[in-house]
Amino acid sequence: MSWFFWVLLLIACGGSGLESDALEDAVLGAALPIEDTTLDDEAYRFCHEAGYNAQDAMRWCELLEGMPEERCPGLRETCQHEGELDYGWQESGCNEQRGGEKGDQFSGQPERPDVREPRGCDQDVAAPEASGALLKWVVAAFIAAGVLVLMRILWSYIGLQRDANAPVVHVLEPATDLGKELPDVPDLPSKDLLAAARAALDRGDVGEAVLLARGASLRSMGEDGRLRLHRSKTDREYARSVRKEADLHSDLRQVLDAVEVHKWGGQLLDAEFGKMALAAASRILGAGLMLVFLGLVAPVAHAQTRYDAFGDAGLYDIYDAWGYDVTWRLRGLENLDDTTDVLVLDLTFVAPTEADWEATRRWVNAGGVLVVGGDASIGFPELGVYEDELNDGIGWSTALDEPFASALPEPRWPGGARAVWEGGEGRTWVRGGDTKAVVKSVDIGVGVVVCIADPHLLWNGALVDTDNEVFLGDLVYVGQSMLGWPLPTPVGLQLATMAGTADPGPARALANANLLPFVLQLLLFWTVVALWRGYPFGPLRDPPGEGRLHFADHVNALGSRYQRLQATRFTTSAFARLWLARMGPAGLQLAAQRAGQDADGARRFVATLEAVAADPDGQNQPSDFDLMEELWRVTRK
Amino acid sequence: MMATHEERLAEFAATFQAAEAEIARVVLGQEDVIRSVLVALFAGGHILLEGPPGIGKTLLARTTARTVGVGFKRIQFTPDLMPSDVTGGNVFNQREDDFVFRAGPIFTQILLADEINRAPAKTQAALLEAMSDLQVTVDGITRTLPKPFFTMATQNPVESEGTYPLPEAQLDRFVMKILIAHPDHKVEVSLLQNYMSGFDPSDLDAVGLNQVVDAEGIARHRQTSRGVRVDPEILDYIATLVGRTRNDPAIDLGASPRASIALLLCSQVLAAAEGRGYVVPDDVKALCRPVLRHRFLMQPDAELEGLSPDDVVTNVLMDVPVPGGEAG
Repeated sequence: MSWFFWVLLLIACGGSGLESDALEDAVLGAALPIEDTTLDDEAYRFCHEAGYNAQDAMRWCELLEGMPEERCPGLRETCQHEGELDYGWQESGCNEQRGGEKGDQFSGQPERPDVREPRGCDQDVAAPEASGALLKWVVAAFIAAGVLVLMRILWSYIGLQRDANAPVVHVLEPATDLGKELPDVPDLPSKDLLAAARAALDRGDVGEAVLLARGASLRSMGEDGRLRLHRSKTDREYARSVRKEADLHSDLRQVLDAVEVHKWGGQLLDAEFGKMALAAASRILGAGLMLVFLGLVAPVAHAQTRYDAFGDAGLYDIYDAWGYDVTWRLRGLENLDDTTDVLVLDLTFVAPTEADWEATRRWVNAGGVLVVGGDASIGFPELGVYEDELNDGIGWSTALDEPFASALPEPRWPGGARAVWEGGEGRTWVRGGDTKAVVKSVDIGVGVVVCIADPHLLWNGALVDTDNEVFLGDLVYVGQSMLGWPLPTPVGLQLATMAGTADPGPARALANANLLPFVLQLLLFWTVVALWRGYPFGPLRDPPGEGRLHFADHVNALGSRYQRLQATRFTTSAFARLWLARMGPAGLQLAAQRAGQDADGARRFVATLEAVAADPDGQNQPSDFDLMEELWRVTRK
Repeated sequence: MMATHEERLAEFAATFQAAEAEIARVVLGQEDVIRSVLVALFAGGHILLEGPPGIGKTLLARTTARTVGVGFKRIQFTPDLMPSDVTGGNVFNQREDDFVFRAGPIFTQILLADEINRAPAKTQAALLEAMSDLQVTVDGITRTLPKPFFTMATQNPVESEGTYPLPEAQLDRFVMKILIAHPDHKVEVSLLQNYMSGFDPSDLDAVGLNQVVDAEGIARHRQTSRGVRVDPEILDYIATLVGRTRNDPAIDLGASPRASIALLLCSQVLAAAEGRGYVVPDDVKALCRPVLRHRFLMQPDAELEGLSPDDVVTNVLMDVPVPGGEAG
């Protein structure tokens, strides 16, 4: 149907008189067989490698129906082996409900029962629960662990140098001018405080142990930025400030409660109580380390999923190929401005804050086009789109509503229960069932929100069906040309999908900016340089060049003095012994060669030196001066 | 068999929390105020409530009296109110041919002194002896007030014309000054729903309030709270906080030692209310504002700069290090 519309449009435009590249792309994309499709890129391994990430990929099998044979050969093969999957894979309730459909290995297990996928289980697509994802996490963990170990070596070295110049233990100064002394807790790094707490516990001093554990916990959290220490804050205020992190809060309360009972309650604590408090403190310190660790690991693992079946790289490739000025949204939505014309927002992976929603509302009102996909069960009330949700998934079928039926190919979703909307305002684009909408647009102010009730359409897997690819690619253009969306040329399109938004955490922000690989490489480079320079093994033994120069001058002056005293042989002998001991004959020979002598000359020079060194009491010779000067010249640098 | 201190503490905590819950059934959205009132009651002090009219001050007093099972009377302070209208006086009984003492409304256990700043100073002063010594002297004869005696005085912060500001000596006798604000929207809706359900503030019987303690119980619980442990560092903290008000450049006249004592007693009650046998710095910090805000005179220029007493107390709290140190 769609090609017919475009042929008519071509005629209406005067044959070849197309008005824009986007239109041309849209026409060609819809009307002609697509030879180079987004998923042809080998980076989409689920499409090309049989069995790759099968658990995720197989959900899209039914979209292969009606597609050319050469389309996604790997996925096709994966789908053909669907019945042979391992049935023992049952970890979560969702997987059990799916009838154990998951598994990467073709292990010849019984046939899979036809169980309809329950709603709500779609949201776990990014969870690294399968072996493929697990492997990525393991690899990423190894990389991060390596970096962490190297950083630790460097830090220890820096710490050693710092500690060499400073006393290890000193007591906190009074915090104010009141002259009130604080308890005598050593000003040590948190891990050392924890070690001191363990030692105190071993001595049987539970009270001191819990006090030190408190110090370790609070300092560790202060150093990590999880807590802001201040002299006017009480322990309970510290605990309250982390109450949103349930585990951390629980551990901190355990430590602080022990201190409270001991310090303010004046009660003796038994060893068991102290052990529990120390265990909690250890977890707090460990959590700090893990925070850094996970901050590095998570984005690495996350980045690898972008080309998977549930990834979002396909969207970028589509809009790039369709001629849009497409970029990832790397900042928070609260900074949305008129440099962005169209924003594609996937609520499955991006969770906007209230401020983000407010800014998005303002931006749409002012003329922005928002394509938003996500759980439609409550509509998108943050944008003022309220809909009644009806979701049974029975008799799921889609159809394009007029007039879009003639302009766009019909998109297809994989099977299973899907959210749809019934009633409500707005223009329906795609129907799910007779009266229910699955894609619709709602005008808000000057702008428009295109609501996609089920986000599967936005993920790489949906692009198995080329109609989906064309539908997504043409969506904005059709809105622009048929509904008069106020968009400039070229259209600046941003993707706020898995690329996420800015983050206050430095590691996460780096990952969002795609800078993490660069930082990791930089760290590795520094590590190699440090190893090459020998920093982890201690300071260099030779004095610096300037010192050596001063020493040579000193010896030269000394030689002149001996010359005046008619003791040139003794001086030359001593000088030669010194350098033979420091550099050895081989070293001196090399130094002589570097200073300009040829190999034979250098050998003779060293032999002469050895002879002179062995005979300090010999007769003074005028050649002693030449030898001494040459030695000075050779060793000068 | 004598109950242990822990058992008495547990009983006190249960009573306190039950009283809180009962009062909160009627007085909606004022949990902090209710807690402060009960702390003051069990600490043996009196409170000054400051807030606009119509926010349930009288209801709070009546509900409190009902919940703790003691007598309640209200005096509406007006410019023509005489001291004898408060304390009572001797009147001639013709049948007995003698003067007999007719007790004033102050002879009760919970007294609501409504709009106390509308009465002249001499009438306000009639309360002084009652509040500090729990007795009233009329015509040379001293009469003891029933125990517990708890005054809840109110004043309106907005209508200052025709009022007589309470003298510092009188203010210092209130253990706390509690500020009450209008309820937020959600609370107000709940309040309206209560009225839709037939709630009548003049008929508290219909609400079915439970009496959770009696006068004897209050005396017993006061004893219990006095047994709560206070570390010397906490005592030092209290003294430092109060002492700092005497050195603060924004304050002309700092808080008196009576403030320190009030802070100590209230902290003990607050700790006991949570079933704790010891005071923590949080107890002191939580009570600092209501206990201190009315006990010092601000410098005129500080007031001109817009500093409120609560701001000053906040500054003091930020300045004084909490015992235990930042992380040590």
